[in-house]
Amino acid sequence: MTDSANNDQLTSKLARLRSAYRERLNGELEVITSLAEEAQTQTDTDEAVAALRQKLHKLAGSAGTFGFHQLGAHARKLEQQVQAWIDESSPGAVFKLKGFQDELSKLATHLGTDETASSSVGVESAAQGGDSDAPTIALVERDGILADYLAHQFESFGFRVHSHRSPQNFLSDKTGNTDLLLLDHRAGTSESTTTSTDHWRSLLAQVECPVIFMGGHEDFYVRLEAVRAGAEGYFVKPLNIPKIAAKITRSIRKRRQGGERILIVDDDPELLEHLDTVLTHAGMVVETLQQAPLLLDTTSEFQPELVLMDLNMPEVSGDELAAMLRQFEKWNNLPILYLTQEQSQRERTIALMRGGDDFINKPVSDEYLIKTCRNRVRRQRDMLQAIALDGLTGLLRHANIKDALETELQGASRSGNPLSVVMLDIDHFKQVNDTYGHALGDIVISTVGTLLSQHFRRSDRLGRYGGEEFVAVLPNCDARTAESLVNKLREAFGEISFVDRQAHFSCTLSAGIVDTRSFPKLMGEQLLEQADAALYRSKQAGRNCVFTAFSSAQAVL
Amino acid sequence: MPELNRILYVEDDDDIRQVAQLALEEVGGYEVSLCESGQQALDTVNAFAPDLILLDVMMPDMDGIETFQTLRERGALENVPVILMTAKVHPEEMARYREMGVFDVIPKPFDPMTVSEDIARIWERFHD
Repeated sequence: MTDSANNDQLTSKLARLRSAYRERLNGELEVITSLAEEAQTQTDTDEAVAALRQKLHKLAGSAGTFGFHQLGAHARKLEQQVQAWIDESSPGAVFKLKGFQDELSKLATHLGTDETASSSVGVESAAQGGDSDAPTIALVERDGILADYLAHQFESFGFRVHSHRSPQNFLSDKTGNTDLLLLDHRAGTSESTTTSTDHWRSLLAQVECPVIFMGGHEDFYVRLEAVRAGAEGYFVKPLNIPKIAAKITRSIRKRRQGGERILIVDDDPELLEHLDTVLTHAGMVVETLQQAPLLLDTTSEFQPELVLMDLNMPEVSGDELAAMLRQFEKWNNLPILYLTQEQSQRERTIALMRGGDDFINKPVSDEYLIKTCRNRVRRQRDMLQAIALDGLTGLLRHANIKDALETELQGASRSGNPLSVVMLDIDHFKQVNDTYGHALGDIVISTVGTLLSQHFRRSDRLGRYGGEEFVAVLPNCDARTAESLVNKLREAFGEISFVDRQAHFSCTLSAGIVDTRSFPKLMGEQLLEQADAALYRSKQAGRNCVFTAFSSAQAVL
Repeated sequence: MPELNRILYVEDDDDIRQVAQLALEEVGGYEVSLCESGQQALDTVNAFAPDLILLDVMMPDMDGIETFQTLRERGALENVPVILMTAKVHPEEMARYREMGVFDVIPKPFDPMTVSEDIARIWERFHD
């Protein structure tokens, strides 16, 4: 395609093909409907079911090419349902799927939507269904089979995945936000050129989200190249998906945390205003303080993550204020940076001894100030998390999740909203450890951690309760909603394949749920017991399932 | 790297064959031979001598996999990469395809405006 006349010609040819295909669709939908009827009403239906499945498969594969994306996606869903039925039923069984007829009739609805939505042919990539709030990964991988494998696995973790075959494709794709770019290290290179740092640096200059490289081998120089290109991580193929998913979850969570809370103490109102403007503009939450006597109150109320302290103030000096803050245990680890022109080594040493952590020399450039504050706070957040969270899963530790449950219970009784407690346990985990070793067992455990973080809201409290046991506390959520959420998580977990040197394997989990609607009078400990009893029923029922605890009052009904 | 010119495309669906022809010839600038069945592909392959073969998987009579295996048994795939055109399939299925010697997969539905780029890139990688 070199000139616009050609382009117009192509467009009109595509439009003609599209309308021919559209003509055919009515007939196709009729055939599909009558095949479904046949399969549901007649006895020996294996043939009709197979034909139905094939028709749906074809429709799913072709509709998107002609721009009927929703129709195609829905056909794919139906195809999978039929396939699942075929896999599970014995030959000759009567085809029965709950709600299938309704789902089938939606094909026509989607056809209508597609027609109004777009009249161009196949210009957008096939629409991906799913949760619009789910983090989005852009994947650039030249190997189509690997790309599909990765996409499938990441989707099981609850990410949305946009696949591209080259970095250029990714850059020219302007649809929506990307939370993270996962990049085949060699994706941008043709056969003769070796990857150069400059190449990546210029390509990635326009990329705002974090970047992770994956590559075939690892050495110092490859890692250095990744660092120079601005990558946050480098993973070696064959990829350990659960590990990457955990890293991505942490990276995205970090970016989604709120602005850094900075308290600035200075006697100069103009300087205060300037610093306030600069940091606020950079997305931080700033409180300023001019009058030293208000220091303790302000710090208590505002709960800063970092204090910027003028060292030389007329009535009281910054290092005295720092020393005062350090008298309180709760502020022992609060980072304090002195703003100063003081150059005397002696004075500076004294100031450090009194409790400040470092100096920012005045005058300071805006950029240096922003980066210093941001870096300090992020490091501090990492450290606090490392203390409060279970190292393997990034979830709350045993004692912390029990505390969180008590706090949320109080909130629930104030608001009157239901609260659910979920207890989850990996099935036959001991066998996993015995067969594949503890290292792989740890990966399985951390995978559940990642999945929990992905599948639940930020307001939900998630903890590792013990070895392979987990607890989720879900405010504003009744047991029914919780059950459907947990079932989704359970299915996603079953989809993930773990890689051992010898084999691929997958795991399942069981869960028990209780909510405060059925058990309004129970305390935290008792709710946990009920959830545990429901979990026990799941295990008794054959595992890989979810049970909800009912009170005896409900049993009578 | 040798140039990619001739593509053999095997697909039983009329409409898809037509849009693929448009995509490969007019957008991609390739010379294309279209076959509507596996059998026709077997009959055509020697005379056409394709550089690359695109195979639909689900076809009546002889499906894409069977076509692929027969082509290979007949020695028609020396230095000729085969790309399957199929829905996203389960990872284990993917691994199986690859073990069989399939070079790559282009997921359906494909976008007629960009599918030629995908093919060019796969061709590059084949000669990496």
